[in-house]
Parts: sequence; C-alpha cells; structure tokens
Amino acid sequence: MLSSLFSSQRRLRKAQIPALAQVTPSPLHQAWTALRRNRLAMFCLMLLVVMGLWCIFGPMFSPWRDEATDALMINKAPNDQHWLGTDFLGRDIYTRLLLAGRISLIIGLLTMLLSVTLGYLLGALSGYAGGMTDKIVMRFADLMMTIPSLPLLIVMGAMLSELDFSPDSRVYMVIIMLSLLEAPKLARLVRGQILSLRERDFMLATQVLGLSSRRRIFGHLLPNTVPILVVMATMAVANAILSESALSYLGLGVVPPMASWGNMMDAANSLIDFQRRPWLWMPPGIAIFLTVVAINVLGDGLRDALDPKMKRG
Amino acid sequence: MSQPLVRFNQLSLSFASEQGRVRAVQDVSFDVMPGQTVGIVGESGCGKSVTAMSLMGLLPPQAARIDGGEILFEGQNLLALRPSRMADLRGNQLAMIFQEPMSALNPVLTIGEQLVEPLIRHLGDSPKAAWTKATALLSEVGLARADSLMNSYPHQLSGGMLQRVMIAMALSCKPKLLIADEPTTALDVTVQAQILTLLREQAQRQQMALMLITHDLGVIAQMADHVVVMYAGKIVEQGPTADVLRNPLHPYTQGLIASRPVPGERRRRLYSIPGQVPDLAALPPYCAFTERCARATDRCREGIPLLAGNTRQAACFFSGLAQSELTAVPQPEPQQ
Repeated sequence: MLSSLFSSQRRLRKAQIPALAQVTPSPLHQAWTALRRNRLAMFCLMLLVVMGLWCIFGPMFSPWRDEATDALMINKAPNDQHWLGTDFLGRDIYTRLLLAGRISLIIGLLTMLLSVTLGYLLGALSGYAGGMTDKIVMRFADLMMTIPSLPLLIVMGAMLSELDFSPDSRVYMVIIMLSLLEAPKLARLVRGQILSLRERDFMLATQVLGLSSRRRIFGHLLPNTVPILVVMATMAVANAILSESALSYLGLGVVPPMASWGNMMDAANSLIDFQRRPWLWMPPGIAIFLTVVAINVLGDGLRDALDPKMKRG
Repeated sequence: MSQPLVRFNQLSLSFASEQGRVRAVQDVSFDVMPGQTVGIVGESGCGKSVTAMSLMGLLPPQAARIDGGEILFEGQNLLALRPSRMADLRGNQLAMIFQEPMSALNPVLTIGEQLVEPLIRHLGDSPKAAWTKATALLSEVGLARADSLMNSYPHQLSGGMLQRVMIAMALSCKPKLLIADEPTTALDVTVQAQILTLLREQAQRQQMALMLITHDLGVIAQMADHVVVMYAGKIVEQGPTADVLRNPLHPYTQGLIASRPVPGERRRRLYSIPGQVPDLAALPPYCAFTERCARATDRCREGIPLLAGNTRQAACFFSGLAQSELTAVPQPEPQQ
C-alpha cells in the first residue's frame, strides 16, 4: 500500500513476488491484521464508514430538499414526516444533518490531506536538511503554535467575512485556513521522527553501501515514517472537524445556507431553542461527538497496531 | 614486500565538544596488507571505531576534524577524495559490517530489497539480475531457503541470520577490505563462532583484507594475523598476533591479557586494570596509561613514549625496545 509507494524496489517487487511461492506480509499488512483484532477500533472504523456512506447517499433517498423551506412547519418536533423535526425555516433536520455531514467530512478529509502534505514536506525537509532551513521552518512553526489557535481562527474567520466570499468558496477558504494552522504541528512531529530515524544504524548502513542521497531518503528513510503518517492523518481529520465545528458555531466558518454540523449547533445559542427544542442541536452535536470519538479511537488503535515495539509473530 | 592495501599514516583526529577538543585518535599508523586480517583491540572509547569510521569517510563533518595524517587506500589518500568518489568506493571496494545487525537493517524493507541495493548501485546490475545474484549470495553465507528469505523482513530473522545477511551485503561487490566493527558482540556465543568462521572463510576465498575491531582478545587470537592495541586514542602496541599475545610488551596489553577469564581455572576474582580510561579532552602531557600502570615511575611522567620497534612496536619506556632517548616533547594542545 502506502509503503510500496515509497519503496525503492517496487517495480522489482511487483515483478518478483508472483513468481515466488511464499509471500511475506508487509509491515503495513501486519498492522492491518493487528488492527482487525482490535474490536473497538474496528467498530469505530465501521461506524465511520457507515456514517460516511449515509451522508453521501442518504440525502438521495430523502423526500426533502435542503433549501425547501416550509413556513407552516417551523420548529416542529420529530414526527413521522420529519424524523428529526424541522428548524426555524421549516427545513427537514434529518436531510440537513446528512448534507452538513458531507461538508464536515469533506472539510475534515481535505484539511487532513492538505495539512499532512504540507506538514510532512516541511517537517521532512527541516529534519533532513537541518541547519538554516531547519531553523527557519521550526521558528515559523513555533510562532504559529504560540498563538492560541481559536483566537487566530476567529480573526481569520472574520477576515473571510470581510472579504465576502460566497458560501461555497468559503468552504475551501476554511479548509486552507485550518490546514495552515494544523500543518506546523505536524511538521514538528515529522521533523522529530526524521531526526531520530536519520541517526539510526540502518541509515549509516546505507551510507556505508555508498547509496545516493536520493535513494537513501526516498528508499530507506521515508518508508519508515509511514506508520506515524497514518496515525497523524487520522488524528488530523478529527482535529479539523472539531475546529470547523467550533468556527462554524461561532458563525465564522461555514455560513448558511450551507449546512455544517457546527452551524447547525448555532441553534443552541438561543435559550428557547436550547431549552425547548433539543431536536435542533442534539443531532449535530451527537454527530460531531460520535465522529470525533470514533476517529480518535481508530487513531489510537492504529497507533498500537503500527507500534514497532509491539512483537508481531 | 608488496604494497599495503591500506596505510594509516600518522592519522590524528579530534571532535569538538563542550570540554574542548577531544583528541579521539592521535598519530595512528599501521598497514593492512592485501588479504591480511588485522585486529584492533582496546577498551570502549579508545578510538578503534573512530579509526574505522574515518577510513569509510563516515565521521560527522561538523564535529570531527582531521588534525593530520593520511589514510592511503592503494596509494590514494582517502581523506582528500571527493565525496562522490568516496561514495563509489564505499560498499564497493570498502565494506563494513556493524555491531548490531538488528538495527543495521531497515525494518520496513525486505531483505531482498536491501540486498540488491549495492549490486544495482555499484555493479550496474538490472534489478532482476541483482535479485538472482543476491539470492545466491544468501546461500553463500550459509542461509537456507534463500528464496523466501529475500522476501522476509528483518524482524522475522534471528540476530545470527541478520549478521549473515549483513555479511552477504558487504561481500556483494567483492570488496578488497571489509571492516567488521565488533561483528559478534551482540550475538550469543555459539553464533559468534559461526559468524567468525564465516568471515574467515570468505576473507580467505576472496583474498579480502579484514579489519576486525573488537575488545575480545579471544576473537583476535582466533582470527587476526596482526594486532593493533589502542589506548586513549593511540596505538600502544602492535605486531604479529601470536607474538603480541604470547609476549606482550606494553603494560596495558599485559593487563588486557591478564584480565581474560581462563577456562578451567578457578580464581576468586578476575584481574582488572585499576582506574579508568582518561578523559580524552584532558590528556596528560605524559604517558596516558601512567595513572593505571603498576610499573609507572617518575620517568613515565616526563614525556610521552613513542611507538618504537619495527615489526613489533610498543609505546612504553620499559618495553625493552630501546627507546629511552625517544622521549617525545609534550605536544602542544591543538588550537580550538
């Protein structure tokens, strides 16, 4: 899988393995086996898959449209037509919840992709190159990390509001914003990993063999960072969903009419809604909670499964 | 006499540290003849590994500094070689194996993937040809089921097997010199003997010189033609193995030999050399072994004894090698 992407000899392996009777499972394959034995993590993985599929395909089977308002059906409690009730414009909460899920999951995944790519590149560069490059990248990361992320997000969100993006393109701006905030933390993590790997004997051994730097980095060093990359990426999704929710809740992330779990929670701001109409804010709250907990548990499971210190048979 | 394969000529090098410059290796000179096995013994931190690393060009360039001397490999000075030329030699003509085979192999790549690397790099083999050759190499170092081993990961093999893999990798390009840095320290005793036998056989078959770094005199006695004893960054004694072990001239060598356990002999306590290795950042301006030496006199505190003698060399005023007039002037500290 991912490790073969980095593998120096992947052409070769593809050519050779079918020819040989016995194929040894790769470390990632073994990690997968270990993960499968972890019931809780597997349950969370399944939950996430089900939730993802539900969000993607669910709205297609719903009789209600997102933008369809109904002045006669405002703030109705759950009933047989509107399973989760309706909001203050008479929109079906169930449908909106699924559509919001799409947005939240897309933001989570894209932010992860962007921030991990950026963080990984910066971290690897800074860890391997060292010296001045390392100093510049790390001081920049420090600077970003010294500022508490929520106020920074609020300022950036306010800027987005000033710039007056359309709700659609605003989603992408939010993704970029969250990625920029997340990347320095990841860069730091990767840098530490690279620094320790660089000093390991097997890296010295590749030098003893006279291999080129390119081969040493891409063929031998980076494949070792795949486990941490997988765990990091998983956790990054949860972080991004949480940050997005917080921001949208404050009205600075995804803005109506686009639905996100965060801005649906906005209903809880009003005392009456909070006390008398729990169907407005409970479903998105539960959705956020379940998703984030499931991702984190899965991440923990992955970490255990990929732990090199764990004995594998 | 033929030309030496490797000649260390007055090599001195030091490391930067907070206590000042640590003089890790001072005025080290010895030759390795083609096909010869040279053992380097000494305590931890005496400079034996650093000497080997300097030959391979593996010293960290920021911290280490060559203070003088040269390392000639077939007449060319390795210390003056361009890094790219050095990389061509490494793994090709000069090979090295490490103390811990478990950590010297990459845990996420298969044995085969790692074994073909030098073949592709130095011999320009196609991946396919290299794979076949590597499989043959594994059989050659005495590993059964080479085919399936090629697709195994390092954690699936035992330490002894991994060291065999390392040897196969080191031998893959038919090097002229193999440096073995404590190749058996991390292995258990029965495996140690097998690995040493393998090294000796392969060295003989390929007419390869072997530089064996160890602190085990037993290994030296078994393997080496020539032995170099190092103490505090300097050679204190060298000569043909049998000579040195039977008739050690330097009190340090005598101490090392006396502190070995002798099988079958019951003694209350093993002998140990009193005191500890001096701080390399603050070496005295006289013989560094003085404080631990039973035979030390005032004479020993007056200067540094030079390595005297011909095939048989020792650096002691009392070695009987007539170097009383050779007393060196205390060397000035190298500048920061």
